[in-house]
Formats: sequence, structure tokens, C-alpha cells
Amino acid sequence: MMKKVIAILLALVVLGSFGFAAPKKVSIGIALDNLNDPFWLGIKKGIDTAGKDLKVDLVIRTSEGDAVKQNSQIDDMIAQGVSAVVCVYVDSKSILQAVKACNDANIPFVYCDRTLDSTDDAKVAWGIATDNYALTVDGWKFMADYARKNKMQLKVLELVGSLSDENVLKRSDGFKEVMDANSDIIELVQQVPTEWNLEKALAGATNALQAHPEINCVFMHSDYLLGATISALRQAGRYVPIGKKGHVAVMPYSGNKASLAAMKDKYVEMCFGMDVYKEGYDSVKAALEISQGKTYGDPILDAGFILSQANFAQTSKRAYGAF
Amino acid sequence: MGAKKLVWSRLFSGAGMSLVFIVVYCAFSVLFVDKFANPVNLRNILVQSADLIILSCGMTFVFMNGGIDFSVTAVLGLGSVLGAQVMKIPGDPLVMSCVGVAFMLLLGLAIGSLNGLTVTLLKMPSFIATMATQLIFSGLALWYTHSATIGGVPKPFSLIGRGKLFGIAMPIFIMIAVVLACAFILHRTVLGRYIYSVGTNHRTSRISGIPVKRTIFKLFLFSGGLAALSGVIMTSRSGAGMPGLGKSLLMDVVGAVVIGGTSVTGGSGSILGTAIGAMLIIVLNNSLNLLQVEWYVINALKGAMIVLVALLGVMRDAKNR
Repeated sequence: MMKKVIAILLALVVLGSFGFAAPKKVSIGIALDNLNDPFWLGIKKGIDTAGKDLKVDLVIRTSEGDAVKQNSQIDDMIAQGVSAVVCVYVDSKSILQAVKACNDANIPFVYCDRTLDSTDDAKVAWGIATDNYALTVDGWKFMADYARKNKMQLKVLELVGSLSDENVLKRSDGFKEVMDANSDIIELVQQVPTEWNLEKALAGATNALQAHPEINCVFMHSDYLLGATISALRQAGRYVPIGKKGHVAVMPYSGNKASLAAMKDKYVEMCFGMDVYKEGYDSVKAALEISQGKTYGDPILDAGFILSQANFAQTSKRAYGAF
Repeated sequence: MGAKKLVWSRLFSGAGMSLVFIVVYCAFSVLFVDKFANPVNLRNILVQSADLIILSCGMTFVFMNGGIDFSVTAVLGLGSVLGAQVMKIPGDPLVMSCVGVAFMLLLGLAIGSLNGLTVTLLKMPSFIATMATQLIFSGLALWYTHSATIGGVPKPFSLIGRGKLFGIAMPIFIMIAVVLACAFILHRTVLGRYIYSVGTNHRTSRISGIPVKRTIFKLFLFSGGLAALSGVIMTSRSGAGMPGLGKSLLMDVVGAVVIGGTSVTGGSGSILGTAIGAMLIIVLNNSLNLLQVEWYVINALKGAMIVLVALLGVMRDAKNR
């Protein structure tokens, strides 16, 4: 009996190795950092739409913020025979190993959302990301003008994301540049490292607001942290509309639904808007076309947009939270 | 016991069940999962399972005493960043790679020793002692790096994780050596007998003249050392020191040990079983990924499998009693 079972299993294995192979289609590997936040879902929406429009199979993997896992997933995609890889990488240094693997397999590697420079032995084919430095500078210049007009001294709490994220460093650098140029009205009171962790953001913001009641502005590196920030402000009795006593100016990044709702309700002055849907769509399109031999120029740095109370009615439609 | 009965009892053991399951599962994957049998994919499975198997072998030793070692992820993270930092000290790349690897291994052994001393001398339950060291050392890794990664490791170091010998990836050789060495220690040495005895009953072991504390201390030493070795491979594969290295691996490690048939109450288990359990988790991940199954469904399936195997283990233990 046992022999028969083993023989059947072996026969199935042999048959399987020869037959039943699915017809070949063009497929693009999509390696995402995470899907735990509307921001990532905004990128994914662009990716999914591009997949449908361009009629390509998408092999989508999420690494849940684990850089080692992401590299393994890209190795698996190469084994699966994808034509190109689009990646929102977790870690800018360890992803270079995956880029090398793609180069070895002659598969174009396209980054999305986070910029990545080619090295001598790891060549990136193309990429699209927001110019986080320029967008942050623009947003903070807007805020500096706003503060001068309203005779405000901005005492800032900065909620910092993960330092292995290139975008985070650029956002911090952009803020620092404007702060240094406007040191008479902008002062950094405290930085809270959140590592994109909501509990850490909530605890850090709560403690900072308690220790420094003079804080009147919160700059967060993503509106993923907005819910935690609002909770901390509520606990401190500081979540009040613009113009009311005790109001804290809130400056979120990216433009999700929560940011738009808070702006609509006049609790949030401005938002750094990112074209994440476009990033997702264009990265898949480019990956497909490069794999088919088309040449692309330099990577694109999207300027993003500033969403303010003044332009909210028109510009909010551009934010991915409105889709 | 008759030969037929012996075969069934082996198959019904944790390792036996996992072996049968993995063979059947692989057969179905070859049939129904496109590209599963692709040689590159099979090589990926083996390479990706290397660090999990090594980590799980270390954890098996601690499980044999009915304990757990939460600090393995801290060994991975702290070892990864400090090792990468050491390797960046100017000098001959090969020499600095060796110094960095030695440093990482010593750090793992030191954290393992600390766990062992806390459990044996302070009589602290292992889950509390190792949870404390996990928090301390992973916090230290984050403080040291401010959660940034350390790149620029020397090229010779990258060969450990990405190099090949006779066309076979280096991590596979290291993994086989570790499995053989651990199996030898557990099944063919006096220390191995001590480990089974201490895991079954501390009191009777002590009365029998077995050095219980020293044996338990060694279990944590093995776990720390093997976690560090796994960290060496993972850091080398990633080409960078990362404070959060392997942070999501703990559940897979525990899953591999449980699926491999090691009793959570101690006293029984095998290295081969653990290796099969780890391989099963990687094969499951790989095949379901190829089938485009979402990650949360994969996690749920892994959880269900662990419950099923643990349940069968409980039934087996009850029957043996």
C-alpha cells in the first residue's frame, strides 16, 4: 500500500515537472515595504491600475518592513521569471544586494517613492519619487510666512520616522534649512524618533507636550502618525481649531483621508501633498517599457504640492486621500 | 514493538509527521505551483532556510529544557550593527571581515552566557530573563544607530551570505554543518544525554549526579552562539548592519521548533525535526508567495499549522503516558 502511495506521489511530481505550466505572460515583480497605511495603499492603487491598463501580471509582495525578507522576496521574483522589478525598498543599503541580483539576472530594477542611487556594481534602471527635500522646504517656507503674518513664534515638536528611510532624512534636512534661515520665529523644541511606530509616536508626543507646554507646532514625517498626534493633543487639551486659544499648528506629510478631514474641519493648517498614485502608476509603466527595450532618462523627482486652507477646495482633489 | 508498529510510531512523532507533510506538500507544490520546481527557486528555498534552521537549532536546545530564548532577535540586531561597525575600521578587508565575524560570534556567546547565568544563578524563568535581555540589547542597537543601517561592509564578508562553493551557496554548507554538529551533540554525546535528562526532570537529574546548572547554562550559550552565526549570514546577505535584523523571525523560529516535534515542556525533541520544521515554514512561505497569497493569510496558515502540530503532540504525549 505504502509503495503504491509513494509511486503515485513520484509520478505526480514527474508529471508536474513536465506539464501543467501556465502560458507565459509578461509579469512585473512589485516589492513593497508595507501595506499597513493608506499611503502604501495609495501607491498600490496606482500600481494595480497600471497593471490593468497595461495588461501585465503583477507579482506583489509585502515585506512588512523587514529588509532581509524583502531581498528574499526579490530573489523569489527573479526565480519566477519576472520581466522587471518595481520596489519601494525598506532599507537603502541592504536593497543594493537585491539590485545586484536583478543586474545579474538582466532584469531592470525600478524604485518607487524612495530614491536610490546606482553604485559601481548595482545599477538602478529608473525611478520615481517625491522630492522630499524640496517639498519640505516649500512647505516650511509657507509655514514661516504664515507665522510671520500671524505674528507667531513656532515652537516645534518633530515626529521623526525611521532613520533608515532616506525620505525621513530629507524631510529633516529640509526642515532644518528653513528653520536655520528663520531662527527668529522657528525653534525645534523636541525631536521624537517614532520608527514609524504608532505607540512610540503617541507616547513620545504625549510626553513632549507635557514636558514642553510651549510647543505650538507639530511637524510629522507622515500622516500615518496623525491619529497618534491627535490623541496626544486631545490628552493635553490642545486639539482645538485654528484661531482658538491653545491651538497647535499641525503639519502632516503625504495627504491621506485623515489629513484631509482634519484640514476640512479647520484643525490642520497645511499638508505636504505627495502624488503617490502617479508614482505607483508611472513606476510600473516604466518597468514594463524598460524591460521591452525602451530607454528612460534620469529618474523623476516629483515636486509634490502644498495643500493649505486657502487652496483646499481645489487642490485637495489631487491628494490620494480624496481618491 | 513490531517493525510495522515502529514505522507508524516514527511517522506519528513530531519530526515524522513534519517529514511526511513536507514531502506531500512539496509534491503538490511541484504539480500546482508554477515555477516552484525551478532550480533557482529551489536554491532560494535552501538559502533562505539556512538562517532560520540555524536559529531554530539554537532555540531547540533551550526548548529541550522547557524554556524559551526571546533574546535571539536582539543578538541578531546588535551583532549586525556592531559587527558591521567593526568591519568598517580601516584595514585589510579580509582581516577586518574575520575580526567582525569573531566579534559578532563572541557577542552572541556573551549574551547567551548572561541569559544562562540569570536563569541558573538568579533562578529567573527563561522567558523573563531573555525578554529583559532582548529589550536591553535591541534598545542598545537602536540607541547606537538611531535606527539607521550601517553599510559598506567589506567584500570578503559578503561571500559568507552570497558566495558559492562548488556551485552551492555558502549558507547551505554552514547550515548543514550546524545541523550535523547540533545533532551529534544532542544524540551522540554525554552532554546530549544530560540535556534530555535535565529537560525531563531537574530533581532526578541532580540526584543522578548530572550538573544541572552547568547543562542549562550551556543551552543558552548554544542559543546565543547560533543566533550570532545566523546573524553573520543574514548581515552578509544584506550587505549592511541593521538594528532591526530578523525582528519578525521569532515566531518562525518558535514555529519551526514546535512543528519539528520538540516538546514545549522539555525533555523531548530532535535537531532533525527542527530542521524539517524550519524547512516546512520556508516552503510554505515560498509556495504561497508564488501563488500570490496575501501575507496575512500566510501568517494565519502558519499559525494554524503550529496549533495542529502542537495538538497532535499533546495527543501523542497523552497516549504515551
